[in-house]
Amino acid sequence: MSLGWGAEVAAVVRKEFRVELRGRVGLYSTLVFAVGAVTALGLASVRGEPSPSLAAGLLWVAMLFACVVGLARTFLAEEEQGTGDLLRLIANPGPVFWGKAIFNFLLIVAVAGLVVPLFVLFVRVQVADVGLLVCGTLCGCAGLAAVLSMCGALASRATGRGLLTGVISLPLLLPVLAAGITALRGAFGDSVSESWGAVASLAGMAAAFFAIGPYLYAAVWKQ
Amino acid sequence: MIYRIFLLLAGIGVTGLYVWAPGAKGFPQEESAKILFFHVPPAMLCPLFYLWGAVMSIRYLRTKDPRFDVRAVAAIEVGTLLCVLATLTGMVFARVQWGAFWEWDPRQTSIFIQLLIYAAYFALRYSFSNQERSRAYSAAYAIFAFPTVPFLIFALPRMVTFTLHGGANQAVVGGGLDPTYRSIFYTTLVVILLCFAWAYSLRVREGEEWLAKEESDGLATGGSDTADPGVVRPVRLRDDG
Amino acid sequence: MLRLDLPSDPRVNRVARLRAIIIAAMLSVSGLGKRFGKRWIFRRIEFCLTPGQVLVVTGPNGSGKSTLLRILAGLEPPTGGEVDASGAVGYVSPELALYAQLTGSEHLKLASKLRRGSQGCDPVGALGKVGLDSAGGLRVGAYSTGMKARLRLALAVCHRPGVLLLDEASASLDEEGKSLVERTIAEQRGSGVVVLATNDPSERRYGDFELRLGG
Repeated sequence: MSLGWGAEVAAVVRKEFRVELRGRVGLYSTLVFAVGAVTALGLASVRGEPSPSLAAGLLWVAMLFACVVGLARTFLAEEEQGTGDLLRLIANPGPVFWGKAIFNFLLIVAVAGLVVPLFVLFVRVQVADVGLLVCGTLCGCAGLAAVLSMCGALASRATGRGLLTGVISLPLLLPVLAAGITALRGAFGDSVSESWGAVASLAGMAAAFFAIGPYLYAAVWKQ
Repeated sequence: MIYRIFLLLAGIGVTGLYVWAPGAKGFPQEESAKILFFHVPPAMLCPLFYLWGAVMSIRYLRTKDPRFDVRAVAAIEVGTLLCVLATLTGMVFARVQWGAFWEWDPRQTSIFIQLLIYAAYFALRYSFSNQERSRAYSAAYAIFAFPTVPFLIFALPRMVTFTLHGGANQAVVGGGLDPTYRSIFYTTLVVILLCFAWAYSLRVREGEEWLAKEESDGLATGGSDTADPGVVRPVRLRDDG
Repeated sequence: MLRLDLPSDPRVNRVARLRAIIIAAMLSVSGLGKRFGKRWIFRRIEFCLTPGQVLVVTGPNGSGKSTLLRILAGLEPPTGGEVDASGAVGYVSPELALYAQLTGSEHLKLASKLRRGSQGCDPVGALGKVGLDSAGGLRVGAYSTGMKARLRLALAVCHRPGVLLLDEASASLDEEGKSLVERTIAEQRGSGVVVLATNDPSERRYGDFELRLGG
């Protein structure tokens, strides 16, 4: 049974990758926004490097910019294309939510893999603690993926869904960003004792969001 | 009626206590710091109403009974009102004590984020053309958003070393108020809770009346002029073949 | 409306007979109503279908044929009443969108992986049955309207559902496609029930019963 469930999730993830790779719109726009945002930040810091705290904030803003535009799309695209009904006919909500959330997480990690090195290179910040940078970024990506997946799912069947996803996810992302900034401040050289605590609370938040997300998605699945 | 008179008297009583109470020790401006009687209770009660809203949302999603949805919206509306009050009184407090309306103090920040999160609840709620869907999706949002409440209250303010609320945290949360002060504070807290519970019950009653009206409208416009169209059944198309 | 080979023994009382009907029913609907805002689209629909029966739903535009089928498919909750379908459901509607970026056989493979509690599906056989064997590797974005209608039919029947819901299934299909729908209905009679919503009076001939809405 659990094996069957895993196969269902894998089928959804595979389907998402196929649709997204063949459609390409979401991937290209994410790429352009990610590189564009980091370039703009690089231009702003031509003279002198920003403080660790500011650098951490800028990095998360760049991530947010790249992710909100391109990646909340998985649930939205489903309703825009009208394929939501097909999915509701053939699938169960749990695997659909997990498949899409995992797909979102993998894409956000890929975006981070592009944005973070580029940011360090362009904005010329000193990385004091690589472990903290990697852990903080990964946990932050999980938080972003959880919030964006759920908010995309909740907004997908409303009028003005694209705008609404931004409206409802941004406030929920603020606590994630606050913790993410605290985590990366330490990574960029601010000697703060709270950074690992912030990583832990990022992980906790992401876990809480991921834990309740599937249940809520199942509850609104056939409304 | 009796409840309303009681609330009125309690309100007058609390205002009297407020005037009579001595200035709050430990603050730069002792006399004006008394606003904490009206600043701290809303900040403490707001999460309570948000919790109630999340509980009612869970019950709505379990039963799909619109009366739970009415309660969830009422609780979140009252919670948001308390959140606004805490923010505004906090701004006045901050102007007098710290010299500026807004300082990005962690507690100010977290209550402001809280306000934004629940403002988004209303944005989501009013973007559906289908009423059942609107209820279900906003209930799901209310549950999803609730974990941020304890995070914003407990974790975020501790994550930032810089805070101007140090004295207040010590005084109110740490039990540092002197006995007279403490009893005035808790009396005010209870009276404010009763006031907002009353507002909540009014809002619930209004919502239930609206539901009842909608239900009777639905019965009145049942397809044709007759109130009861009767049962619709299929008819046989051919004899057995 | 029900024809069951129940023992006509007088000792079998009415309640027992009713219970037998309910157990034998593949799709039973009671007190079903749907309201949009203040307007009831339909109210108090009652029927009960046992294997081998075909119900045709007719009525003017806006009488709620498609909404009824969406409710039966579980895509939309009813305002009141209950739907009880035993076994899997297959649903065809011209409004059911497909993934433009996936091929026909990828659709069927995805469905067979995600569907639970039904017999497996053979994508190649299912495509052959609806006359799409050569187009199975083609992306649906390149399909014609009629080809999409055929693929929807394949998706609806490949898991052998007990309840087959056809909303305007032969709209935009050619002669051969129409006879495909007819064959599908005949085949479904052997294993389950069909509910067919149509605007075409000639399609009433498929049915054993007719449910007229909005009249």
